Amino acid sequence: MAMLADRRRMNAPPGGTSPPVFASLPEAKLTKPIRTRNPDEHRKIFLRTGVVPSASGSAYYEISPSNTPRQTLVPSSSSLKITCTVHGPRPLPRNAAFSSNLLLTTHVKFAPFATRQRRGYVRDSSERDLGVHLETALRGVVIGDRWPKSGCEVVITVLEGEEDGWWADAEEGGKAGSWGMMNVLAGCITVASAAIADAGVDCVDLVSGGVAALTAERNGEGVLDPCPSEHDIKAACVVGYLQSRDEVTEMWMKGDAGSGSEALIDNAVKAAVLTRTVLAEAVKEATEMKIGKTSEAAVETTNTGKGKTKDIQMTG
Amino acid sequence: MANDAETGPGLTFPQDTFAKLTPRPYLLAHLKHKTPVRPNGRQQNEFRQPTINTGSLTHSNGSAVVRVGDTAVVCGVRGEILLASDIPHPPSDDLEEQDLVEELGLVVPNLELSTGCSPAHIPGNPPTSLAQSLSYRISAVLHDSHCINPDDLRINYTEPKTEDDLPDEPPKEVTKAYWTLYIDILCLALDGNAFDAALLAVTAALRDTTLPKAWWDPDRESILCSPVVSDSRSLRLSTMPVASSFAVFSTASHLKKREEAQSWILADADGFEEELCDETLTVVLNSGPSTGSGTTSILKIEKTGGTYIGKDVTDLCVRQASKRTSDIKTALGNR
Amino acid sequence: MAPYTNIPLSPAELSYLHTSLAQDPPIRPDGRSPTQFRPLVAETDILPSANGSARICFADGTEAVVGVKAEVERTGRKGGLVRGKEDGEVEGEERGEDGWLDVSIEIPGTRDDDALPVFLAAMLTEALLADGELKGRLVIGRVWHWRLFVDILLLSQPLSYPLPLLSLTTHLALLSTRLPALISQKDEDPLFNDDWEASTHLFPRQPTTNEPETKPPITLLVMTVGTNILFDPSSDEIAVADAIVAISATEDSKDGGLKMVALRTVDPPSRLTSAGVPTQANTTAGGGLSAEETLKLREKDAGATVWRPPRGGVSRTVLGRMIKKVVEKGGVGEEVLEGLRGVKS
Repeated sequence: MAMLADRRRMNAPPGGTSPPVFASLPEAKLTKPIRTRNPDEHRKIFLRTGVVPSASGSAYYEISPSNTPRQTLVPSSSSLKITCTVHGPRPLPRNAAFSSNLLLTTHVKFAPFATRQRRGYVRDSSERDLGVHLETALRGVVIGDRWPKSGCEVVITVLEGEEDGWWADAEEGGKAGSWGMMNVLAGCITVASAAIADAGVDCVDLVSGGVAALTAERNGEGVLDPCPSEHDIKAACVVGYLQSRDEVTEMWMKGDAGSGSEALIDNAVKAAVLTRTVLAEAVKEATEMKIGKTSEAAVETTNTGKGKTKDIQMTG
Repeated sequence: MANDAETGPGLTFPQDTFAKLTPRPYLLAHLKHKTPVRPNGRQQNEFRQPTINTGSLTHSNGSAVVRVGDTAVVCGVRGEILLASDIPHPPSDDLEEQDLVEELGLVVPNLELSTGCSPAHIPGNPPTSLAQSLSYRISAVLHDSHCINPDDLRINYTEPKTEDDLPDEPPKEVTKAYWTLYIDILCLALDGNAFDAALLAVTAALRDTTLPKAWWDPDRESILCSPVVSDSRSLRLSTMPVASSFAVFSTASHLKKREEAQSWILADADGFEEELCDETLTVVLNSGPSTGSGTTSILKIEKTGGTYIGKDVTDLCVRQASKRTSDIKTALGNR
Repeated sequence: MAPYTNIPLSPAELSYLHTSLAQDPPIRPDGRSPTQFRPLVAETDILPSANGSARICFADGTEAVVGVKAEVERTGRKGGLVRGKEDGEVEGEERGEDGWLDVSIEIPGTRDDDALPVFLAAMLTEALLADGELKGRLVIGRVWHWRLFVDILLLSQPLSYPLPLLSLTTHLALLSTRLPALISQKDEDPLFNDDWEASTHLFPRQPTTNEPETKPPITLLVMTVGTNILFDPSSDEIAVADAIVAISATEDSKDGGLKMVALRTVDPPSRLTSAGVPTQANTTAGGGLSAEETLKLREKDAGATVWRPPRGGVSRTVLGRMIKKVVEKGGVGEEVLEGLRGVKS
């Protein structure tokens, strides 16, 4: 692939490299994976906050990989892994104009090894677009007017993304793409929400992301949390949903839904409700741990002479 | 601060506040005890224990996630194919075999710090000089240690016999392409000493790497690979470089006499300590079969930032690094 | 505040606008009905050197020009799977790739990695690629394909979200795009006919009526204030929107009506405006609340009588109503397409 030489990074050998092309050998039984879950069942999610102690808030989101052993060298489906750090609310630089609301900036970056095609280090338009979607989802839920003259950075790194379809189909020309991006966006919304809660920024509610799709196989029956390599997707929808207010802060729908668009939106909301239970659980656990630590410290400072958490006297 | 007769009433703070307000006196107070201990509870020569997980990324040929204290680094190794016909300046025949990897640029490591791993590294800026120098140092270690055998990266093709060949001549083997390894290192959380963690992640990921079986298809005039898992082979590292970094905390200042300065060596400095230390020393030891059955040799000693570290201190640090290397080898071997 | 939103309206003006738009029926500043569009001037084939072009001027002075150019390109190999000869030759149509359509938007005063051009380009690209037919028509053979460059230029200052303008102009430009006729056979290097009269339309025309068989989609901006749904919002109305949605729709070849192909929520700029201060809380105006009352006002939104930036999102029922209004028979979408049909080059 002909890459412009980036002066600040180590570059590919001159002459360019290309990704490996696999031959379809008879002993490699290449079968397209099929969905074994129910249509309204979500894959298992692992969500934990507080993974980066030096940031104000952080969270790690992972969809557990399937237990089937690898048949071929190229995996048939990926398991989403996203990490998010929140730095803020921090004061804006001196020369910035006055802002009476919190200025939220989002950065989304795929790691180079996140997708089947290796990505570069410079952000491309699809990553910026994800950043815009994420900002829309988060702006609605953050109470900005309590933080004037402040900025908050939400940084998302996607360690492993979802593919747009089964890899062996890729040679026969593309199907309508970007279904993988929708799953990534749903994950990003959930993990950013957890990280923002961990950072202690005021929010109206927890926003959770959910994806639903209409597939060709099921003729109009929707599926929740579609894995693009398992389905032939005709239309899909991602929502960022606030459960306590029954409102949608962000919605992205693509494809030919026809008359089923309302049902598709409802399915996506159902998926968001499922992820919200995981989100709420993780945030609750983290908060309980934090409260436990501060109450411990409060107790110990009252009985001085306990060693580590003793207050220090500074003189001179 | 030096004259410590109590001049007036003091202020009382919890530990965290003291550390934030006056980090140098805080660290100094810890190290000045009869038995010096660091704020994070470690001894002066104690390294943090690493946690290593490999093979968790599905799209890489090899991957590793390393956690050293609060520093977390993930490394993915991807193999792509460089056709010999695409190489603009083919290597000359008298090039040493072990220099081939560096000459053709078959190993491309990159360390990315702008991932929000700490408040100082927010994305949106091009790589800082720290990130660039770390990438270069890792590249230098990988090339100088000759840990990757160029034979593992070759894709050969046995040319069929033509009528012009003599009947007794063995068939000619030609290298049609090479595997290029893209080593992408991302720092997820930074709490000091990125270099050691990054090099450990690279070594672990390379040991986990498997490359598919590849051959030259004369009809298509391109390289084809087999997707069958049993046909793939692991990359064998002939040596294993391990880095150990030390930082020097010193009370020296241009306002005091040089003899009055006190200095302490801190192994594996964390983020708080790194900010307060100017002088650092990194020792990279190489061990493996090619260096003579199980022995360790010094690959690199890098020292910057001050004059405290002399011959004796370097000797002490190399011994500590040697112990660290054997601990790391055990940790990697027991994955 | 102006620096981050470019909305030069005070909290009192914002509150006035919001209240008048929330009435039943809504009172719009220029007196239009909720589904009435502003008049526009459109023309196509204005650029002789481009494969297709169009220009639209809206009544508020915003103007856009779109040029479409096509280039022949070699189909690269991307990795993946290759079927061996034992499986037989791969027959059947070649399907196109998404990367063959390149949409670039230039808006004066913004860099190309700012949020606005990025989101506009993404929205337009995904609408065009939604039904998968366009890229199928870009295939020439197994080795060669057309690469379509759609260059959109906004000629006036962006008065917030020029999405419908750019989308309608792109629609017209693509409808007028012609590709040279292919003379060479299947897998040879492509050779085209010199004669421009022999060129074929990218969106082929029916032989009898000379109407296009399929059309590219159009994208409309829809906003809500309270329970009212408004179309073609002006920049003042966008400043007080509770929610803004961009909906792309195209003609349904089976049904005859319209079907939605893409939908996206847009972040309303009203979220970055500053809130007004009620007289009760304004100490200089003789008011002044106790700490408890201020806390109640802040935390519980109690006694909100002045403009506050909206919080939360849009309800699902309202979204459903918005979609219906665009795609229903005799709805706004059909009206717009009808209006564009009469554009002459």
